[in-house]
Amino acid sequence: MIVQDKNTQNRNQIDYSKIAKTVELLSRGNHISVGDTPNDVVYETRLFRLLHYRSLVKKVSPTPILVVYALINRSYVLDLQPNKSWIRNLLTQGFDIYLLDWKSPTRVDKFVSFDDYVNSYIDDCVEIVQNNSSADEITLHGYCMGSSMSAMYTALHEEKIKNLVTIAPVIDTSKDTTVIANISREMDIDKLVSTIGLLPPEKLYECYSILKPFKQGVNKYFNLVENIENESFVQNFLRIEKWLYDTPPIAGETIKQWINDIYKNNMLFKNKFKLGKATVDLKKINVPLLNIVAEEDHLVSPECSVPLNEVVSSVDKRLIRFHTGHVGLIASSYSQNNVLPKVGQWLKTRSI
Amino acid sequence: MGKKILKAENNTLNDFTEYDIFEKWKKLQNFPTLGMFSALTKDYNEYSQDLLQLNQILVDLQKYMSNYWLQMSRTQFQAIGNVLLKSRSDPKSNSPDSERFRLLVIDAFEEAYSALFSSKEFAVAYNEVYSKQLDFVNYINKIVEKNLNLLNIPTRSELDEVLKDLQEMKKTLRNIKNGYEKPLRK
Repeated sequence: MIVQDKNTQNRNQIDYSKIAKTVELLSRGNHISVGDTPNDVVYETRLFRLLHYRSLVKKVSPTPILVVYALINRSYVLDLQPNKSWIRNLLTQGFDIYLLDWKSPTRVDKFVSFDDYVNSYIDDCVEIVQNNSSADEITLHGYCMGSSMSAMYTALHEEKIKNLVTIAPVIDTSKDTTVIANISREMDIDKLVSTIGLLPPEKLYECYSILKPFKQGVNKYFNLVENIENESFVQNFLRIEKWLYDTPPIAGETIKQWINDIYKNNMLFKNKFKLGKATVDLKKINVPLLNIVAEEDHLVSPECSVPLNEVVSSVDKRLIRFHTGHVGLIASSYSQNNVLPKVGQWLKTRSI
Repeated sequence: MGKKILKAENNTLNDFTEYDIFEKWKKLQNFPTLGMFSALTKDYNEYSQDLLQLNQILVDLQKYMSNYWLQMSRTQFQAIGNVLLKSRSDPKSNSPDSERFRLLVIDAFEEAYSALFSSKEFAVAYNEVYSKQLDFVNYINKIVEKNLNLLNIPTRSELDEVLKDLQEMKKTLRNIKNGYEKPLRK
């Protein structure tokens, strides 16, 4: 005869009321508030907005920080909720923060390339930040694809940059072992762009769904049912879900360069990546560099990000590895307690 | 290219019939002396050739889809096998604990499917399916463009040319603007 202890008996009883509550919650499609830290739109075009966050402390660092977000998903992941906000934390540490928030390209933007993103849009924002804050040099701080773009920009316009901070940059794609890299290497991106014009968001959702199909894709709903009465857990779940399924399309020419040049031919790492007439040579980066990678990153392998420190010429360079994932690095309690204090400390000594 | 590979690999009667039927119809319709109205039915022939081409793409798509689903089902069986193996080797398998079993199932499925999604074989199969879907959309686009041409309406390819020029002009304009604004700012 099988004897069960009390805990096991409790676990084996299905709580149907919790399932009903979960179903109701998911079908309600609640409005979730994200990106609440007060800010002003300093500049806006059809493809991007430049946000300036209002200071939360009296004394602000003289070197402003321009955060360059990725072209995938939305920038509010950096300000998902007040107690897990990357932006808010840096503000409370006394930094002056600007954020480059990319908008959705349309079919009209089919031929917008990395040259436009880096040499026009980022460059425009850098100049606005310089003028606004009367600083000759600024700190450029990228996340994911935004880190790669920040590295490209610094290699070409180093005179405007004081420090470079990168989080999970895509650099040496030959070492990227993620599912996304695996799919990208076989993708006929030229055909996709000539047929559709843009990389549709649905294609990205497909890729996300096979990243950790059961541990995240399925298990998260079981966890939600279990924690349905925990308001903070539920709100956090809904915020992440909202962010995951909110991605703009990517301009055709841009995604072609990303897949063909960067993922298939590893041209950024080989210093052969072309932006217009200029070639991006990462060796030309001499500014202080802080490179942050996540050991459990399943979107950008740490092995793919780490080589940035090897390829630049900076004397003052630091690599910090954290035991978390791609999103956990920037939007979690772990990041508030472990990552941000170190980032702040590094920046403070170099922002005088 | 995909078609050639399929033909070389599968020389069955079934394959021969599937592809050959399209070729035969195409040849038949292209006979210049077929029927007394051949000149009058020229336009119809063109459309019917397009439809045949579309069908051929769909047949290819079906083949690639079968390969994709074959990999998925094989992995599912492997995952179920893993569940059995893991539950047998679990020392507490005698006491039914749904939570423990759920985690075991998730682990086993994650292991099997992650291995599949990280494999080159899957990446090739996944992209073959998507590439054929794009071929289908592409062909529909071609047909639409043909009709737009008939109606003297600009086609997407023509609009693309305009967009490309516009993007180049924007860049040139920005460079000119920067050329005289930047020295002034300094």
